[in-house]
Amino acid sequence: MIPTHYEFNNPVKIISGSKAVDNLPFELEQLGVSRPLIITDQGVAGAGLLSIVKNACSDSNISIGAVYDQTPPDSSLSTVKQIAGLYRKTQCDSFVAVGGGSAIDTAKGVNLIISENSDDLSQFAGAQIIKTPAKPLIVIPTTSGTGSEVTMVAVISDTDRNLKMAFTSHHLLPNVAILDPRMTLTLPASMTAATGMDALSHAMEAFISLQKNPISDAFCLSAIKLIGKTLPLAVKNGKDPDIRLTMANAATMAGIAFSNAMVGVVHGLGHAAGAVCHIPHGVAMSIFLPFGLEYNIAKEEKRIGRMLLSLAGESIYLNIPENKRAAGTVKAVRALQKTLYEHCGLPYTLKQAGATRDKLDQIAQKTMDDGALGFNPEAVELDDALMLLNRAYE
Amino acid sequence: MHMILKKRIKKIVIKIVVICRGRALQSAAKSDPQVMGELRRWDKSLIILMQVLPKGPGMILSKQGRELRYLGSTQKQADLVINFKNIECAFPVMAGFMSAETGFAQNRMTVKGDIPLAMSLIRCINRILTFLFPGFISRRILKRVAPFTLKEQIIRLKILTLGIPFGH
Repeated sequence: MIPTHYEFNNPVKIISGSKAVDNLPFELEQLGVSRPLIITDQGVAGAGLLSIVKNACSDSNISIGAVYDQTPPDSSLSTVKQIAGLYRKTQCDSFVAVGGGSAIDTAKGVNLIISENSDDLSQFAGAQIIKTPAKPLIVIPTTSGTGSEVTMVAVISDTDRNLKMAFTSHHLLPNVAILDPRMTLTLPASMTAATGMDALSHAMEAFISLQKNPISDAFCLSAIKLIGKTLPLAVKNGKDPDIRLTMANAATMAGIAFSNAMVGVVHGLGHAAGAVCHIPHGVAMSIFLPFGLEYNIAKEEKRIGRMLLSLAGESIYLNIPENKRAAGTVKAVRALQKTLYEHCGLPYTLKQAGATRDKLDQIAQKTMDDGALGFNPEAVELDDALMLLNRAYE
Repeated sequence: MHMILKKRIKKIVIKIVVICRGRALQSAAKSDPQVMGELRRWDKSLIILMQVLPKGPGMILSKQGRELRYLGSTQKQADLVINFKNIECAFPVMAGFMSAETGFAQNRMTVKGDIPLAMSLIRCINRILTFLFPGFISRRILKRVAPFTLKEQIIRLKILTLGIPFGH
């Protein structure tokens, strides 16, 4: 059924293909800029990926204004402020983010305060309150998971207050996302698995979210199908550029879906587990996904059952009676978890991920503050969050 | 003309709803353990504004110490601002046809400020909806409504007889 009212917005130009990064100078010129600030992290720089970007800009009219390669794993207000200073000092006119979620979200945060001519990012926290168009931003993801290259969301930590601030606005959407398999070829198997499960959780949660709509649904199902087929292959054979490019496309599709339909309890629990026990986001998504789906079966049984066709394929879907398909989807996610555990040791319980039982109360409490719960089909109260955490513990 | 009249009627309905909800929240903050629990986690002094763009109506709530005060609709600088994009976006949510969560999901509202505080406010609003509306309505718009205990029935009676008419 079509929702009585919905909005969908994805103006990001997507360039996908081998050597797609070489289009960077052309795209910057199309945007009318010539002096980008590159925002990246030490992992990307250390893996030699920055040289691919620099090479692409050589022999062109583009002059890289500065490179900031110290983005921390959790982008923070102070990092954003520091990079904004660098942007102003080096008189850059645009941004290129090269990295995972942290580098991309940091670039969005810096872009916001530069465009608003401010130094205080925290005053723009919230949803759809930014009114000034941003500077050009091109994103080159180096993981296939966050989908941040096509989302209108940035999450930045306020380290002084120990909380993560969410910024949502269509002005945060990048202008261009470049998906080039060279940028993910060196990603280790464990990170490939974790980020891939993050993408799967985006697609699956967006498909049952209160904000779901027919257009986001199409992206969800395509992403689930690609991830179901490709993620185990990407973990086993990460050097195959075709497999890497497929995963990059799947993560981008999942990103488009959740940017327009949002996520639910799996992300609520995952953000809290990350804040309290420092469990990496993708690992947390993998652990909570089957429990989150199970929890929502009472409200969204048909839709959860429908995802089985995309995830496991026609033969399995048709061999399972309709009233057991939702449970079949949960089983298929657990089978995928098992495969990933066998190949690269991706944890499937909180205990394996290093959490201790005494932290569960704290995680449950923090979960209740997460905006994602509002979009979850089933109500989530403190006792429910604690019950899910106990189930996911071991 | 017909459409303008409809819009005016909707505006009047929202004005009445805002007063009822504001006073109900003020009253529940003194008597309902769930709302009191949410309030304890808020900063000691803060102002919340919920308004319909571009020109109202709106609802100002102020936390002063342990109390929550409904301060009418006079515009103020607020720590948390929830804006309905227009009167048509606000009406289904304010008139009880739709929960605040569905309103957010349908992009009817924007939030300026702390998302955890907004989540807590929504829990408070959902709670007072269960006091204001009969069960068959609240069960239709909210994700979950637990049956009332005797104590909760008394709180509801207090909100309906003293809270809304007199602000107690």
